[in-house]
Amino acid sequence: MSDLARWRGLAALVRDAIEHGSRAVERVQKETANRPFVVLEHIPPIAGPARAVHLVHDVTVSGVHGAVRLVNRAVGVALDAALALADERPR
Amino acid sequence: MGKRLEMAVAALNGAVGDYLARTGNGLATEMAFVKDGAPLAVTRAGLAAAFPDATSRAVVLVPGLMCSESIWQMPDGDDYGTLLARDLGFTPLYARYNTGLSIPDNGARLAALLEALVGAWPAPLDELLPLGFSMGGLVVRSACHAATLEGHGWLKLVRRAIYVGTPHHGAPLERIGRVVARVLAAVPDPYTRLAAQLGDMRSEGVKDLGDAHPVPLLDGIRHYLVAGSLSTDPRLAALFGDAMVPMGSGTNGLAQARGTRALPPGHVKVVAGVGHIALAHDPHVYAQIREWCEKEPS
Repeated sequence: MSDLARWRGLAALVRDAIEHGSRAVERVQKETANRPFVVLEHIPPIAGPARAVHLVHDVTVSGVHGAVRLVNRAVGVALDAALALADERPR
Repeated sequence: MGKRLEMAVAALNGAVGDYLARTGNGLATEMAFVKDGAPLAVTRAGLAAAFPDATSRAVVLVPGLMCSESIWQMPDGDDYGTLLARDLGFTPLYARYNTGLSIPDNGARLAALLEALVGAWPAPLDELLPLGFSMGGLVVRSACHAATLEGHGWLKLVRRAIYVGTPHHGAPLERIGRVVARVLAAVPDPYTRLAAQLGDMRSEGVKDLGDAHPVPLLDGIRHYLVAGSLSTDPRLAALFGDAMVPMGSGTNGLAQARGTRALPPGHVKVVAGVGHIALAHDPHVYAQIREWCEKEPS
């Protein structure tokens, strides 16, 4: 396996790790927050606002992790392009 | 730097090599023989160039989980391959492979590679000696099984096989890992479930190490086993073995007389005071290997 293929592999592995890691952390954050929210949503006077805050929380968490994954993919594409250029360069 | 890089890549392959192979990742190691750190072309010209003095006896050294070929190296730079070349005229071949793949998969790949090797060997070949360390021994067993199924010609050249620190009956560390992962997954907490998922990412190769090898030692070959023991106390030695492989597993059941097929006592050597990794480059282990190789198999 060439050095360049290994660099590509390393870039892909880091990209995969960030992608899967971000999804896993997002799921844990939502599940952890879900517990107090479920309790709060069963208390009649604050149930409505609690549901609204829960929704905002989940959307925010998804947004932050979505942004992380988006940047990760963009960096991955840029790295692939840079490695392709390096591959084409005469040695 | 090159040696360290290969060690890091070998460790990565052992941990998640099945994922690397499945996703076509360039870090996945292909099954190959290596010389001076580079894979060999298994063609007549490639082998003739690599081994201008190829002999009629070849020893194939198959390393263990997360190991590169440097695991064989002794402090003075020698290894079992170079010593067998010097003392008994073997030509040493060092296998490198993705230890994260399942053991049967690697066995089939090794069998195919050996078939190509025998076809392209630049000299008449009388003997092929597989020498596996740890998981490498199980890969050798799988390769012999695969060769039987495929009718490979190289198997006829194998008169004996040597297994060093090989967990024939599985490794308890992997079984403990399975239990821990199951317990963590059963706890209704997102963090423990995440920990269980992380633990479950270990490779197929690692998971295979938890079980006894599914195929028996092949008839028609003399099998020689070396097991390590950190303790000289028989009870502690039986329980902990070389710290990774218990005595019963390393000796294929001979030490505890409950194996599926016990070997003659002369075919099993227990080396006291040597840990698992050190078995791959220990002078006492080599002395035993040499003694076995000096005997002409009937």
